[in-house]
Amino acid sequence: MTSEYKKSVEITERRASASAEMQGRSVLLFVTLASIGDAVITTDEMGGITFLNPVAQELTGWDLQEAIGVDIEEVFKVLDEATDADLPNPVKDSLSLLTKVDLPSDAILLRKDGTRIPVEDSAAPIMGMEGEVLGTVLVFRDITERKKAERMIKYRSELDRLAARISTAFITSPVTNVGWQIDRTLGEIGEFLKADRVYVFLYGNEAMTVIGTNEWRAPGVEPYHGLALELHIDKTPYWSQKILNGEYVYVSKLDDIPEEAEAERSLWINSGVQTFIAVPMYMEDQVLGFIGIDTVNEARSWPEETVNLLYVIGNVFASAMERRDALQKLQAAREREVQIGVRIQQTLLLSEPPLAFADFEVSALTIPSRGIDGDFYDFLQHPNFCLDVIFGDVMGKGVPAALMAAGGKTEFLRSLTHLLSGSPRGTIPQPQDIVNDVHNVLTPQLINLDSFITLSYVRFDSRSNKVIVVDCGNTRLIRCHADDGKIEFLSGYNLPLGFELSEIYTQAEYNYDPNDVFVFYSDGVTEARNSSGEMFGLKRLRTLISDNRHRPPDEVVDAIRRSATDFVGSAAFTDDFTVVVISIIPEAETEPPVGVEEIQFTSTLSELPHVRSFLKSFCSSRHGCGLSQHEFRLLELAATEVFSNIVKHAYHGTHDQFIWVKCELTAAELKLRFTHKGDPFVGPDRITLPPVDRQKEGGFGLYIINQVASKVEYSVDNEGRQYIELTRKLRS
Amino acid sequence: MQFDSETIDGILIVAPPKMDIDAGNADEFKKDAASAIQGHNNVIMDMSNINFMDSAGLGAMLSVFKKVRAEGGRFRIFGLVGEVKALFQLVRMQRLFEIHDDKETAVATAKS
Repeated sequence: MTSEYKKSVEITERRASASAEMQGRSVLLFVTLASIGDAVITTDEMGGITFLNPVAQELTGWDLQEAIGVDIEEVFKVLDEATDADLPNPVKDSLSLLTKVDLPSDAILLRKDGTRIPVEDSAAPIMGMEGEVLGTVLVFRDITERKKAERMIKYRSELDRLAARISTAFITSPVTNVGWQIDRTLGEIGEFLKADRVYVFLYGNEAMTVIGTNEWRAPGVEPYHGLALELHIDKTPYWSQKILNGEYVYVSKLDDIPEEAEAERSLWINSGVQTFIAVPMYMEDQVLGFIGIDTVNEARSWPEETVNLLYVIGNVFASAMERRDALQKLQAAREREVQIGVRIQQTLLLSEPPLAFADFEVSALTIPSRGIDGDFYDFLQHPNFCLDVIFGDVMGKGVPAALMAAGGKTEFLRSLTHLLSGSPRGTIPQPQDIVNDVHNVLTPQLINLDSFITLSYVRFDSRSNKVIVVDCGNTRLIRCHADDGKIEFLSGYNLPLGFELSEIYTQAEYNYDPNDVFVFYSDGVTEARNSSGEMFGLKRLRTLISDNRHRPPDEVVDAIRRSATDFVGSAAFTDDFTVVVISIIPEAETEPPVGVEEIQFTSTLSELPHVRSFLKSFCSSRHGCGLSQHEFRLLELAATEVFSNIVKHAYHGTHDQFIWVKCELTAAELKLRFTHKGDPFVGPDRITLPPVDRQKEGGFGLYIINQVASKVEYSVDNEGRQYIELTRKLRS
Repeated sequence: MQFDSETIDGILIVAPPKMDIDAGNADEFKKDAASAIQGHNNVIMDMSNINFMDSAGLGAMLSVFKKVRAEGGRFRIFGLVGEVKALFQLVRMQRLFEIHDDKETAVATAKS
């Protein structure tokens, strides 16, 4: 048996015993009224209550027994929902007007216990057969649920309109106004939701702290505690965890705060918060911060739909901030890029070539393009007649390439300084050692950056007339032979820096004629285009160099410049046009010797100490011949190597032959001439150091000779005498 | 030629006599050095008596070094005079040999 049914049975029983006169009425009507879903009250013609059905008893709070005979105005009091003013009783109106009367739509029934229920009702007179008024029937129903639903529909549509208005405002306003736009929106939300405060907090410091960035407050409300303060998320563990998980926090009353939110409770109490909602703001999958609303004067309950609105607004804010930040970054980056690029190129990448060298003439030309290239060069002058040239190009363009080039250049200087500090006085590290040292530091970084550098590290030694080339994928070093104008490319086999960690860079040595000209050029030279798209090309460059090889470097550069600018014409250079020309200053005229001595030795290795003694006494009696002690030691070493080579390879160990050693000193050089009559043995003109770790113990002799002497010459005369002459240039 | 030798904590320190090493005596040096270090695998050679060395001498040194290393040992040198040092640097022997300035540092690293 359902409770409603039970109740109606009880009431029916009560009614049966209460009123005998009612039993005269139609039982059918009575049962109908009693079981109807709406509340029904009947009155007599004066308005005295004659009947209440169970629903009417429930809604009014009056029992049937106590209500019978009571005036309808006592039991059925209705007020205007908006004004609380008494509304005219529909029963009374109906009796006086003798017509059906409806209540206004926003009527409130004031129940016996003082509580209120929104009702909808109508009263109609009951007329007798002769038209006499017998009484009224009042039918009404509780419309609480409908009212609620109506309010919710209205609220939702208002929310939707608000969200749409805000989104539109953000989309149409420039991103530079985002801060102002957010403030304005917070105000709109606050007023709409009747909140006391609405605010935006953003996470910073890898979401370890949160900081208030925008706030709206209702008039007279204090700012939120902690606004513009950076709060560590430890202070609000419960709240932070929920927000960072993408969940919202809704506390309608402080009493509802869950136990795990003890830390937050005191924060909220301190800030006087009564009701609080915080909703995460997302950008893609990342929580940027949250929007919070609260009340401080009283607790308020917002429908759950409010949370959805805040999510939407949060997204709008987040994407606007993202767009603003991106735009700002982009603008700033563009500006910086231009400024940095220009500065890097002017100051770091293209060093002024040294104006004055004792032994070299250098001229450089750069025609800058509109973009920024990674071309760079540098000149390092050593005290012992050597000039190192680094000429390179970083892959790519723009600031990244320029920065990498600048970094690469610095790395060479660092490496040189580092290796010099470990070298004996008067010696300089080998180019391949420098490049390998730089490679070890730079290549891992370049690999990380997906970049590489092609370059040539080239050392010109004016005393030995040798050029040492470490080619790291740069094939643009030209040697132009002085005699016939032949163009030769000096290159090796090494990979660009940044290709391969295990690459070991090796150098190649070439002897040159002192009148040769060397030219480094960037790809911007051969690839310069005129307005019809034709390239300047290597052929033009070769011809220019060849034709001008007897002129000083600045004139060679000038010829290239004129030719290139004529060729390109009005078109702009798309790549930097970089050329470096180097020539060796010719030696002074040969001077008469200031000392000559020659001694005959037998062809045995036991003569070696005597050879060294001879050399030592020759030099020491001439103030050391201008050699440092270190240089002298190396010369002594070279002489030992030549002598033992003659014994072993020219005379094949025969002990009864002769070797003549002659020392000749002039102001500019010291010459050691070894004469023998054995088999000729010719040293290669390009000798590299044998790998030290091979299972072989020889092979160093020729290398040592070549390293120490500025020049080694092998010759033979008509009578079969073989000459090996070592020349060592001296400082003037 | 007679090598001086002493042993400190199992480390053999050998010193050739005062001499120049060149193609004329390098073989002899190689033979005598090999017998001086025979049976040792933690060897330090005092080079301060060697005033001159050529490429043949260098070859002899390499041979001694490889002999010690082939037996899993360590070979250190110290006391290179200027002339010899110049040679070692010229042919970049510092990449191969453990070269120390003096006996104390050589012994200290050999111990560690």
